[in-house]
Amino acid sequence: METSSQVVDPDVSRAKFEREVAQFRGLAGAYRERGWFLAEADFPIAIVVMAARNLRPSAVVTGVRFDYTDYDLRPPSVRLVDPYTAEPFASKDAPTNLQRAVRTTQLAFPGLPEGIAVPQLIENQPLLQAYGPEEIPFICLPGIREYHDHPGHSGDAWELHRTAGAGRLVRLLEVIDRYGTSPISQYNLEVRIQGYGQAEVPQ
Amino acid sequence: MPDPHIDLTVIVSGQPTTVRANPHAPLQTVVAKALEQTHNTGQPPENWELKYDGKVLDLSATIESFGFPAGANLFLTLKAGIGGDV
Repeated sequence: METSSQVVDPDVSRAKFEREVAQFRGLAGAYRERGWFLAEADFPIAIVVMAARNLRPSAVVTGVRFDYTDYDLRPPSVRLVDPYTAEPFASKDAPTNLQRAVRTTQLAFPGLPEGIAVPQLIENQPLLQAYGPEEIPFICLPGIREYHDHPGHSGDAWELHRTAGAGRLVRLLEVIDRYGTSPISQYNLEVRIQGYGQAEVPQ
Repeated sequence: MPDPHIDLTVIVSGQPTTVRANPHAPLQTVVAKALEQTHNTGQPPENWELKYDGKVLDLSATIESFGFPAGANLFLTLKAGIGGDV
């Protein structure tokens, strides 16, 4: 996977990248307990492997590849990747689509007495978006380069989120953890018995 | 008389800070102080969420009601906000 070319003073981006990595390593034990493992950190790339710690036995779910080129003039690029090869998942192979529930339209009931709770629709909305099953999906979230580069989000500039730390390593991992790995809590195993129904007379 | 305040470690988007807090105060006071100490002024406190042991905490509850053990790390993170729609 290629990185884009750096236009910001590399020392600036590198210092900010190294701050992110150092802060992660300073609390590596706490993150390990949550199933987060820093597998690689070589400017501008960091790869974190995330496991579903609530599962027994626990399972490695995904790798997350951060590209901090031009940080923080631009937000980091973030992709879900195969934790073993670091290759980005195609949409059809992604282990999670970062599903989250959001409140949508509030239903209108004319004549409803005051004080009665009005039902509100809840919709599942994936943060991981793609235009086809073979495409490499992107995380549709402020603080991520792919979100801010998308023409549909030209009204939500990176500069509006930069000072709140929206592109910071741990913040982005928190979001992926919350909607991706933390909700995975059990295996759904199916047992099929094969070999019956053969039209043969036993010898 | 012993100091009634307690020290809480809050990890603000990866950056640790220690907040001295009144145990009888609501948890939201810790959020405001942690953001101030780490100079995270770009988003209001309501756009952040505080987690402990994988659970999002109710900021209106008092600090003492959670019974945080010594050395507990609380994780304060910017919410996902908008997104998920292209």
